[in-house]
Amino acid sequence: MELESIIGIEIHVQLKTKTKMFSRAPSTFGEESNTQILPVDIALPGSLPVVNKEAVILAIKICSALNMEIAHTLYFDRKNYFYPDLPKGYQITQQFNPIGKNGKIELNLDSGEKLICTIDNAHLEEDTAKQLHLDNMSFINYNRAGIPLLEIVSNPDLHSGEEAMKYVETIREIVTYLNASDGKMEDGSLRCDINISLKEKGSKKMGTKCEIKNLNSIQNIKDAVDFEIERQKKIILSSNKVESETRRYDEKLKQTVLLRKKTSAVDYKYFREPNIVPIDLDDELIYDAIHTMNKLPSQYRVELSKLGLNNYEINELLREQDITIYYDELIKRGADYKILWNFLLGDIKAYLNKNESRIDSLKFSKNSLVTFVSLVKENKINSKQAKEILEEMLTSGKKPDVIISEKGIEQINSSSEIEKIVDVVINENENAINEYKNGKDHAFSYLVGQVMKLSKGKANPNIAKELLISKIGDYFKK
Amino acid sequence: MWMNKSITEIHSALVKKKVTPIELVEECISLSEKDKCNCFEACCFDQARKQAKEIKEIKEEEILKGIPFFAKDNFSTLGVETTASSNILNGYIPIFDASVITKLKNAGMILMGKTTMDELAMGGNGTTSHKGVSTNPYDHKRIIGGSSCGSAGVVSTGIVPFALGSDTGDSVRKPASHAGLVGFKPTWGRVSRYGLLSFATSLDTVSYFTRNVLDASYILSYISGYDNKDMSSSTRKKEKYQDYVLKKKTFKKIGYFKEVYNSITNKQIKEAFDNLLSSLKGKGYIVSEYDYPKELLYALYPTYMIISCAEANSNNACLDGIKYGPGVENATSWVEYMTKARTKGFSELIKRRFVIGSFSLLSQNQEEMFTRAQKARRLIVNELNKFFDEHDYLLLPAAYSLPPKISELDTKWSSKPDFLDNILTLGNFGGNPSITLPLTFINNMPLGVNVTGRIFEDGYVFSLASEIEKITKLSNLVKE
Amino acid sequence: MIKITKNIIRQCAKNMMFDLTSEEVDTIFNEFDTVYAQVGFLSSIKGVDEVEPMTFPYKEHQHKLADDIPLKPLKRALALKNSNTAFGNQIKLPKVIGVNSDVDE
Repeated sequence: MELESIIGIEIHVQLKTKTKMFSRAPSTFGEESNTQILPVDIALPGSLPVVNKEAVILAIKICSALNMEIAHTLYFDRKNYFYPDLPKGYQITQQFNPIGKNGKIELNLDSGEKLICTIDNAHLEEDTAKQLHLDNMSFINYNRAGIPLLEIVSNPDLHSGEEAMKYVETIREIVTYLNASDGKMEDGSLRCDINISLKEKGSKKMGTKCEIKNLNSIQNIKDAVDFEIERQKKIILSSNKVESETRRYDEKLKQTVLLRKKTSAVDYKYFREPNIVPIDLDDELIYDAIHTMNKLPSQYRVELSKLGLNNYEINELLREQDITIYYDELIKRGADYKILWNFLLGDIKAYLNKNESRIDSLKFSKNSLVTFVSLVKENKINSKQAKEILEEMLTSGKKPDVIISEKGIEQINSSSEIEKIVDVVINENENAINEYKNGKDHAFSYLVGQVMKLSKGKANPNIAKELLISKIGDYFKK
Repeated sequence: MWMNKSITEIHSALVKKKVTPIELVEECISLSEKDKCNCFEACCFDQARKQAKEIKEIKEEEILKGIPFFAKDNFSTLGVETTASSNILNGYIPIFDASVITKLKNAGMILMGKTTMDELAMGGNGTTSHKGVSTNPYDHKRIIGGSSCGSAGVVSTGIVPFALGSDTGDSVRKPASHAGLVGFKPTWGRVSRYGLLSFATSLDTVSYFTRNVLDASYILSYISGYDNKDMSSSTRKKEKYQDYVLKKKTFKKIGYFKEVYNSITNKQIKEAFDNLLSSLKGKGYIVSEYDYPKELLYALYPTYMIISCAEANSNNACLDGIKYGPGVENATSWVEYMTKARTKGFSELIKRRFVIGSFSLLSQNQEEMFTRAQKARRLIVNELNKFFDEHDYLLLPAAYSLPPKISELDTKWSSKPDFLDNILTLGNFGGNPSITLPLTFINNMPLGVNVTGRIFEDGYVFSLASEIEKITKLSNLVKE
Repeated sequence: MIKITKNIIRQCAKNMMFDLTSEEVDTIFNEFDTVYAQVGFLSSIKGVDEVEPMTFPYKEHQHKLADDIPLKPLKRALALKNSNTAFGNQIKLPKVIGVNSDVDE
């Protein structure tokens, strides 16, 4: 029996607004317990919800990036259940008319193949209060109650750990590039629940689903899903039945473990939220939201690939939006794409990481870096000099030409000047030349090194090499 | 004695310094102490005295300034216990004022305290408060009606000229009929509900009692308007509603439902209503009979019960004893904690209504119950709107018999609902402005007539009501 | 539609977080004949299923949304003032564990 895994993912994205979804209490993260509250956040009797404009705008941006149809009239619904972290006894959500529906995104798999994952809907809702569990009691902190969430519900189009991981990674990239969310799985600002079931290949009959919760890193998604697929496979192949369960991923055990059995489904008694009359969104609001969107990773991908970067280079660059934007800007100012990539993701990124600083705090101007890149490109400095200059630029912010003149660094590009030095080296290194003739490559490197040494590192190594080759040829002709 | 006078009379006495706010407050307090109707929840007399003493001068245009009022116990009032007459909220001291309370305070009105109501506003008799039954001052063996019973009581007995209530089915307009008062329910969305404890959101309306129509029109001018704390409040421009009364801006076409008229069995009511109709014709109004579908009249009660119970069980889910309300001792789990708090906190009637409301929302039942009731509501309102295509006003008696005796009440889900008893819910289903005012007296008991208008035509409703008031000559009634 | 039983009544009450006495269960159970009859009546109304359910009294949509500008939050002492289970800076409950917690976020 050949089995096929069917995976659907629900992602909760905390939206980066200043206030809550249905209240104007601040939504600041990390404040003292129970200090970010207005009456509606603890459901004080008579308090009413109001809909946060910015949350709607961010949701529209995300929906647009996910190629969704965007609702022009907003409706909200109540999901009724009792739980200590739910102050009103219901959650306001969009069960029946989500703000976005019928979306799709393209995933770039490691194999180079592309996969389309379709998205059923994205809906606005509110987060619950945070609970802190001690030995024999629990505490409730309402600061998180009401933080805006956009829940993005995929169709079951995914089939492996890698695909699940790529899906979440792509969504995460999109929401962070839009500056719509911090998108941090480790902080819970992006949370995903993954539904997995197995069915016989070709069969239309779906298998029993298990849901995996509490995943706190992108890598865990792949490991958890792959483990879960294998677990269910073993059960089915040994002729047992998969039970409907909620499971979590245990990082240490590298396994999914049972959280609870899914008994009869809770009846949420959904019905329309009568406190919020339908909201007609102004066309202008939707237009502005869509037309002020940051450039998306997928757009960058197309452009970067046209420039000539390979997949690896593109992925590395896109990892951080501010670096991508910086790169993009320098390309526009005429920097060489390859040399810039090397220095930006090499020395500059290493420097930033070491100093825990961000790209916008670099001491030198963008034009300085463009100048620097063209000095390298035009071989006016060699790679050793380049490193030295860049380091000085990073620490002092000085312009590259200032550093060059201060340090007396200048490349000798004049063939006649280098030729003089080459002649000296050839005359003084008979042994090395003979070794080279006998096929010993290191001898040539030695000779180049001697030229550089005599020129105090200023000779253009490429010119030096060319001259050496032709001069050695002449030498043996003699 | 001032508190038995109208707002406009008290106001002109205040302007002329014939009386001071503190004197009014003291008079109101001493009258409150003689209450025989069981009108009161928490009072805030000290706060009221303080506020009264701070008022130095009252200008001609400050109509409400310095005048005491009471609010039904389902309005959130800063620093004054608010229980909705339910044990589940005993001891709850709000930390904010309802928007309507803020507006009244800003106008200089003096909040004296809170009044009894049917528990959580879920009742029509004024008998289910945790404080017990509220009675009718015209006959203490009879109900004054609810759920805004205490507010009806304080206005009717001359303790204040105005009190806030709320109207979800007929909770202000029915007791107004039983107590000889003007009871006004504005258009849904005209007055902010922020701070009104929700019973059935899509029907709930901040409403109130006065003893004459002009007073009621002044109040609306102060409390209406968009509120950014209530997404259901309308952004339509507010108006000077008193102008409709003072300048007699009125429409002409009055209609009444044939089916309702033919079902009136009480001869005195019929006669009083007939007399009113002919007087109105005499004043140039065009009065006509209208054939409203009978089955939709019979649908009023079940539609109302299902929608209101369903919305109520969700609206009251916040009452879990955790954030406010009496705590629970010795619970070993959160489920036990909430269950103990709610079992103790709600009366039997409330629990019965919640079970039915909850049952009607279950996914397997919702289509047949809640959604079907919402569809019936659509039909009811569509037909009402057809009526309003041809008429400007719907005129009907507000009650069809004397208020029931307390000993004869039954709280069961009515098996043979009389549509006459539920006719005022029409105004809640459609969100229409609707006013009850005295029509006649039968055996020394007052009985009201009701005028309903098109949405946001609150002013025109006042103007016809004012005409009727002149015909019946029944205004400023006080039963001491 | 589910046929009402006393067990379903108890279950509904349990889900609504309160207990009923057996007398209360009986009263509700007996009330249901009437409820069913009236629900049946609503379904018999001509054209009832040809219209959309109505939530709001009239069709007048809102355009105003709340600005994303924080208001001053409540002081903690004030926010927790009415809680009889407040404990220091927190609201305290018996330990919340898995019971009844199969709730999908």
